[in-house]
Amino acid sequence: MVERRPLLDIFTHLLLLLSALALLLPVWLAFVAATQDLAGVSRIPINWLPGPHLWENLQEAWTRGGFATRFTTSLIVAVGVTLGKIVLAMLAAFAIVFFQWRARMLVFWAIFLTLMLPLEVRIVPTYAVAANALRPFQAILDATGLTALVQMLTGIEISLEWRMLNTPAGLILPLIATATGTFLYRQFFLTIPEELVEAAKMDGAGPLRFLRDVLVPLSRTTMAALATILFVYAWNQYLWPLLVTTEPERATVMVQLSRMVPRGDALPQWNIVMAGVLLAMLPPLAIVVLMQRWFVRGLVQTEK
Amino acid sequence: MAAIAFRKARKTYGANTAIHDVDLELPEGAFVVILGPSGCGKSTLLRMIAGLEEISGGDLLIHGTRMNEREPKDRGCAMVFQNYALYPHMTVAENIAYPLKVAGLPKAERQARVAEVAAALELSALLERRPGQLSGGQRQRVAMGRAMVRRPKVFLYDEPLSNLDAKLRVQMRLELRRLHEQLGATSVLVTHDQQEAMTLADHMVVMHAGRVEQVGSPREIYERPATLFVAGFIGAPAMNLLPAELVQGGRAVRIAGGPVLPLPGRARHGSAAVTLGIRPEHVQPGEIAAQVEMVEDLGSSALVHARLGEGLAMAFHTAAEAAPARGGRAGLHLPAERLHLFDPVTGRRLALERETQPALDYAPL
Amino acid sequence: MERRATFRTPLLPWLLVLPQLLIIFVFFYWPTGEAFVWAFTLEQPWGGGRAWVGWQNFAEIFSSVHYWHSVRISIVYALGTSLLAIGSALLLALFVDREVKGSRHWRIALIWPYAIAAPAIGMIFRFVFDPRAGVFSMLNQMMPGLWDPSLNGTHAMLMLILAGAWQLVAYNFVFFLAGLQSIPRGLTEAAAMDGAGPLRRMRDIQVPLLAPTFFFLLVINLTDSFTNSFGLVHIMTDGGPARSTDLMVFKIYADGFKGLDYSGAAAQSIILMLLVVLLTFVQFRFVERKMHYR
Repeated sequence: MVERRPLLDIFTHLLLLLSALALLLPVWLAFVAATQDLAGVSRIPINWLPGPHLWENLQEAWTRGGFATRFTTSLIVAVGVTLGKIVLAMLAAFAIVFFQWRARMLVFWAIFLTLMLPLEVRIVPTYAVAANALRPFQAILDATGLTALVQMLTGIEISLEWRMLNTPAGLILPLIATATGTFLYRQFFLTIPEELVEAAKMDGAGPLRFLRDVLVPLSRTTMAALATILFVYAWNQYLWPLLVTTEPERATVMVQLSRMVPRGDALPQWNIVMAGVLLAMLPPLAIVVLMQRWFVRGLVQTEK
Repeated sequence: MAAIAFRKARKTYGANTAIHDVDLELPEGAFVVILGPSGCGKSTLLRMIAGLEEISGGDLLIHGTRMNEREPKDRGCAMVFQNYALYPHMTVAENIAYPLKVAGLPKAERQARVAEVAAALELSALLERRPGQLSGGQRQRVAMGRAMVRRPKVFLYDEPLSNLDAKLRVQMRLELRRLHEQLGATSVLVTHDQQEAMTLADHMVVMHAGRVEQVGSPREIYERPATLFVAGFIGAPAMNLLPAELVQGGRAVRIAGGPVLPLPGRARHGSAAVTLGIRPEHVQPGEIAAQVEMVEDLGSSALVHARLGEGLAMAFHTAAEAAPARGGRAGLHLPAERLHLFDPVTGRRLALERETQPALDYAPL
Repeated sequence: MERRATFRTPLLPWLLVLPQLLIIFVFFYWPTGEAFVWAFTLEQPWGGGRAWVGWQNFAEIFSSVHYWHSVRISIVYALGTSLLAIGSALLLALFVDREVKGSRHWRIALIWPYAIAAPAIGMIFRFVFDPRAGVFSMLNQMMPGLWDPSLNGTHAMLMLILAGAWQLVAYNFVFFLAGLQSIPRGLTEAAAMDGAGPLRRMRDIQVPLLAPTFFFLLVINLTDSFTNSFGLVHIMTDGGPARSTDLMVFKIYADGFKGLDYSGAAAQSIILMLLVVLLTFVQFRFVERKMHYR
């Protein structure tokens, strides 16, 4: 469109530039702080330009926070959640979209309902389950009288226990128990032309073969989109890891961050803390910047 | 033995019946075209042969074996879909080889078969491309190749040419026919395009509202439409259908309030009311007065839309140079041998009893 | 969603959904159900399991001044964060959409904050607004007490809202931009032919057509502010000073895990659940339907 609005164009650029800077400002200040020594970071007024101490602060934060093990834990959690969710979501969506079976709609709604309540609102009982993941089954056995029956017959008391606190499973599994991915996959599967399924049937491919040969290759973009947002989501989790890693040694990167500031009135060593923050936010930031296209796509698709 | 036979085959979706007790035999080696307007159940019938649609009642026999419960892959049929249904992430070669791969054929044999099919379809240069990089006609040929590679006894085509542009469609039509001759298998093609049906078919099945209206060669169906529906559906422009009544004991027919036309035989019918049909291309110049409303110049000929005395619409062909002017008058002659009579209630064709053998060189009514 | 091309293998679909069903049973349905049981029962202090107490837990919560305070400030926080984030995102998206050249670069310049975790940005904002070390330290030196979120509840809440909005801007921006780009070009071109300038077009064409996106984002932002604020609060203010940032999620955590009042925390969870369900319902009932006229 031919439209000359030089003033508006300048204003547009100016507004965008200022907004981008405003968004960047806090992170810039954090970066500057991470490059100062303790005196530099406590200076009044504050420094606006970086100093020479970035590397030593990063090293200090890395060792003080025990980030080597923290990063490993966070990486296991992020990768575990990403893979677990993608696989479970794909299988479930496949069953819901491509099969004709009686309980299909029931199962669909059972999974879909989990979209409604985020983990945060059912955090207390979820913690109880993480303390013993077999608790629901034990409760069912007790309630149905099976425990008593077995005890009476055999003298063995059934006591199911799987303690998940401080384990990767405890960190990962509750984060997988939502339907985001399933829903995204369902939407994608619904766009697969029905004739493709029929062609596969005519060619003699059964359901699993169809999944492997056609759906998995075709869903690569969906998978990439989902993987980026899931990785960021899992890496950035805070409340759940904080609860479930009762031993400091098992903490994730994010939980470790909160421990780098002294409780109470003492002034934190902001240069070291900010260096730790930079380290902690680097992996998801890298994912978003490098995989921007997938990330945006995943973001828009999971909510629709 | 018939290649494919339906015995009282039915298809219902809940309370809706898509196919009503169809009895049909499709001869082996023939090119069968199932023709009908959209929603008439023709695709459903094809998909019942393929095994993509369950059969609600009756039997389906392929080469004499009952196939109702067999899976698609075990029926010896291959199918070409309307939008081709090529696997978008596989190359042309992989697409064609896929049925063989699923069947577990060794790689060397797969490659040989693909090469053979590709050569027959002139696809050899395109084997490494993906469907997205192909033109419509090329995709069509890949879909053909994927069907051919299994060497099936029966080819099923679901409106295979409808996504192509007009010129390519004519070309692919010839190609389909050529392949059919070459492969010697039975082909069953579904279409709503009567021109396509007339040119391709050895054996034509006209369907309407879930029922088979008429089965026969294209010529038979054109010349002796068995029902009002077939009469109106086959032929472009459509046959003129006029209300009329039998007079002179069934030896002649009077167009409502208009001229009396002699019949080449005697029609026996319970009531006098009939529907009279004549194709526009069979109307000749003559004595019946008509008011010309519009003239469509078709190049080689002209199609004239006119009204008879009582306001009944009548379309007819004339030579382009002999076309009357719009608003002018024309005289028409409706040859007795070209008239079709139908029962207006049941829509069935009325037969004529011959009293004298007419000496005509075209097919008698 | 009825498809005609489906497989009919009776057992296989069950095997395929089994892992997901197991996980959501153990970690979703069971805990949600247990929250309801706990909300209506009390653990007996001397053992002997849980005793049914009816609505008592709820009655206690509703008669608690602290709880109502928490609800009030949660609403303030949610509305403040959502409106701030949606407003600025809308403005940015309108201009980025206009700026065709280089708009890809603007996009990345504006969406990256979404990748920053709540604890990280919380920590950064805590540093930036630190009365002794941050940007306000100079002002505080001149006029002591001018800015101190660790003593002044309003300051703390303001800081929290800013951090929350900062986090959400990027997300909203992505959706507004997608919404704008799905408006048929023909519409803006028609408006241009009718003589409407770019600002006029934003007001008359683009903003009204974005209404569905706006409502959608409002619901999502509100839900997110109600449920996802824990990280920010825990890192930045720890609910203080003097409960001034004691948001609902944080209170559940504090009462449940610090106060060990499981029943009270469970009852609070139920209330929060109902709130979230209500918001989701509003979204489905009203927003989803409006989305269709696009």
